[in-house]
Amino acid sequence: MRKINYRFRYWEDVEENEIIPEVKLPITYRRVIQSVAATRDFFPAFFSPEYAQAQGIENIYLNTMVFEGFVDKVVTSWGGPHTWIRKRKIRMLRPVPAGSTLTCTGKVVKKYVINEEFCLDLELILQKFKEDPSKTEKVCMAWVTIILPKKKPT
Amino acid sequence: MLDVTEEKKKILKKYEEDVKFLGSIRVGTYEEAKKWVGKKGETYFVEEPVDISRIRFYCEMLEDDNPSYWDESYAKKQWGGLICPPGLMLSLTLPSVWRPKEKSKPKFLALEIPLPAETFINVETETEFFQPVYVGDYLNYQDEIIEITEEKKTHLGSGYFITILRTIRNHKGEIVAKIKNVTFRFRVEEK
Repeated sequence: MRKINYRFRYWEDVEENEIIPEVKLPITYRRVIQSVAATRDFFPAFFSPEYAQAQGIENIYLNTMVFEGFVDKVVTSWGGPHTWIRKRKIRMLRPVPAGSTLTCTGKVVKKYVINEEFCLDLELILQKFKEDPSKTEKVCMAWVTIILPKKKPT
Repeated sequence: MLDVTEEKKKILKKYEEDVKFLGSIRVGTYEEAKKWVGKKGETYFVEEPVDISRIRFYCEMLEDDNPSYWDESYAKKQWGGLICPPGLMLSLTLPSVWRPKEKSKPKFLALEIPLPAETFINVETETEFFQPVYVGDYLNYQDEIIEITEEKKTHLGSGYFITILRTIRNHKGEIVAKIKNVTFRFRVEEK
């Protein structure tokens, strides 16, 4: 079996304004259909192009739970598998139809301790592009509060 | 000339049966809708326990290799067992499309609210997580209508933003998550 080297980040390691590097996710037809199957959200706009088009959207598009899962993946891959997502808010600005590529990047906006929990507030931006990666459009904003362990218990 | 809006409405209507697993989109006036603010839904019990296959299918779609969902020994050490990815929480409470014996079906309140708007899209979700959801947990949930805005215009059309709070508990009665979801109920219009 392939050995995966996870990166474990601890609360002390993180600085405010630290950048969370970009992660890409190609939104192929397969992935949109996988998302319908995986989340069991059978709302027609996610599998029927004509329904999506009647809504004014060019093609079948991603549901809320894909944005959430993608944000969570970006955050927990950056912080490590021990990252606890305490709170996550996403605001969807534009639909992401099949045929686009989704990107996510972010930064640490606040580092603090509350109720003996070592918290970080992160802000992330999701964008989409079609053929040309330089022509991106902002599609979603995310605000996530995570808890990371400390290296040495206090 | 063909009326494009009428054509679009016809297409949405054609899929009425497919939308029904979520509920029936109820048409009415904003005045009727306002009376629904504060209303609570029933408590629904999800029939199946949280299942590892669903967790894996979701992670497969996202290519998420977090061992909390894949590696039993790691997950046990870190969380006390394999856990559910936080992004799957809403999915676990979605109604099924078909069951051999139909029980009372959960209703998606955002559709049940009478409004002059024949379709919808989800726009904002805020979730607080209180403790992990484990493989094998049975969940239940209850919805409450928090807010219905006045009519607003967006790039998709005119409609109403509906905020619903879903409180999800495990079989021990502990709150595992609270999801505050904003849905936009809108009318299809000429651009």
